[in-house]
Amino acid sequence: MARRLNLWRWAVLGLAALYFLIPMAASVLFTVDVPGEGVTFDAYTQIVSADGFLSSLLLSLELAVATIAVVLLLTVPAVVALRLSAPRLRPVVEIVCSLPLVVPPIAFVAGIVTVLKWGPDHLSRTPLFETFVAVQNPDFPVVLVIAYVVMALPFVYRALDAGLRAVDVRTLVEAARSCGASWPQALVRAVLPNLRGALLNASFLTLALVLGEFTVARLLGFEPFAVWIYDVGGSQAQMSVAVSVLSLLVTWALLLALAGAGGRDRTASSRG
Amino acid sequence: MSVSTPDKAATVEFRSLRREFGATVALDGLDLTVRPGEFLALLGPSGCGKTTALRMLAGFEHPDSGAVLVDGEDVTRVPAHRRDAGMVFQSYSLFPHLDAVDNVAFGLRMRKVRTGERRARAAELLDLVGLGDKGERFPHQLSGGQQQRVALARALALRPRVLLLDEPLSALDAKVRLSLREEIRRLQQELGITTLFVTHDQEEALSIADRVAVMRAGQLEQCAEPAELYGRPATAFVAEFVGTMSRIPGTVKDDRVEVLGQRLPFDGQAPGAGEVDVLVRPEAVRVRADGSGTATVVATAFLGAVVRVTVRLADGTEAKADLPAHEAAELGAGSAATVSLPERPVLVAERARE
Repeated sequence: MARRLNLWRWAVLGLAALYFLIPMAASVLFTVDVPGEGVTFDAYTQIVSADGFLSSLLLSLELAVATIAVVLLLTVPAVVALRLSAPRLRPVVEIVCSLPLVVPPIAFVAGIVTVLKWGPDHLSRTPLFETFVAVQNPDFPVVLVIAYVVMALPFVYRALDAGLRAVDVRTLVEAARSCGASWPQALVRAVLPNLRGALLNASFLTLALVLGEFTVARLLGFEPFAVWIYDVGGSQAQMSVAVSVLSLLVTWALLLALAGAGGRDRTASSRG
Repeated sequence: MSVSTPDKAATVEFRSLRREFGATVALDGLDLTVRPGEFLALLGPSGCGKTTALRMLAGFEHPDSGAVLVDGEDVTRVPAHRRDAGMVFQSYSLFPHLDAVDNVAFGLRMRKVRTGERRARAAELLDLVGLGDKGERFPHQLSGGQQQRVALARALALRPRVLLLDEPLSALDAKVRLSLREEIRRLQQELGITTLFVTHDQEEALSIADRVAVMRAGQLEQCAEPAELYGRPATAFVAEFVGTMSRIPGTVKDDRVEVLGQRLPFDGQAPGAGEVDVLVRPEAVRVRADGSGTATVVATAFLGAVVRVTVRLADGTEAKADLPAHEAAELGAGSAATVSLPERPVLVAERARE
């Protein structure tokens, strides 16, 4: 019985691996094998020198960092407070945080576009007009950060909630308080270090979301990495695939770096 | 010794504390004074408000009315982190991301004590609780008893004026519980620190506390030394909560109570003439094998030094008696016996309605 189960597992794993690996291998093959020239890495070298590669990648990374910072600053105090003093509000917050999942990005961005158009018309004589301009600065579009924060909420909330479930927040806070820690100190010194795994998870998900997000950025007319890939792909088929492969590798590298930075202290995060 | 705490131990006073959680009244006018350097146990069934009282002293709960005083100073509005009270919790409360030394040093870090100094003091405190060699261990590498020892060291690190223990032993297994409670008592006496100990285990309370405060439904029932609490309980509730008590029906007549065919004096006020229950400890009940006796032995249980014999009296009530093993030898289940009480004042209570 156990052996048959084992066999099944391997079969499923094998199928899943084929499902993911064959397209990836095909992509890689397509980019390096130029008919008549043999194996060449020209497509990849072209990317790095292509116009806008570095700037769009940097923009995406900046957006990701800003989004992670904002969304964590927003949700961490909220979920901790929820656990400590208002457990009855939890379903409400859960539903609010899950709403972005049911609103399609295309509808979401349509709403944002409307507001961005409406705002300047009505506020042209007020200082808020400047705000609307600043928010859409193409060098660092704050409006994208705002949109991404909303889109990341469901994932971040879930990751943090799962992390908090494993920690007795109330006792940790009270223990810290009886040791002379003020509220903020108790939060930073006693609770956050034990949410390390959850914070990392939330950051992972947000990073992946921001790096891959296309719809909102494209329709608002900005050019982060995902949009740039699309634009490049229009002109050269081989290079666009090469860029996709590269973006996959970049994302992996970033996630690994994040895991490496966060997982250094394994003894602390694993509880017996 | 260098770890010694307060030059002068603190007095703690609860003044008519009242606290309601929705419809339930956790504290209903609690008045209690803890003397300097005293080890006071708060004892009571769950839901009697003992933990709420402790948490009010720690600053985690706030009374609807009433006041908490430490050394005569009203601390009711002082936030928890300025209360100067070390606390050990029921659940394991060590910070999982810190090793034992850093856990103990946590409070000193909050007070901005320099690294070298605080590590030295933490090591000293770990020695004090017998874990000097386990400083590098993380909480998940320590047993439950060791974790509570570290928590104790952590609670003492800031030289608090009051030590609060919230059922610190209830998550441990029996053997560890026994040794740790002796250790807590030893430490407390060594440091002379005023200590409040919350427990629902009467044996635990009687064995280590200077005085035991029995609580019921948010009020103080009796606060006395263990021997007095056991020997002369003020109320029937205390009598039955502390130790084992049997109720034997009797009749009050002219300052005496008639029970089991004897006429005995009784302590305190009778709840009124007529039918009462006489409360007796098992060690005060005598059972003698007697073929013509009206009582029947129902069960016997071997407890080591004594055998606890349960007998059914003629009217159907059951009483428990502790007898030396050699006396109990001839009292098998089902045998007839005679039950009597020594000629000493007994405690009477209103007849229990059943």
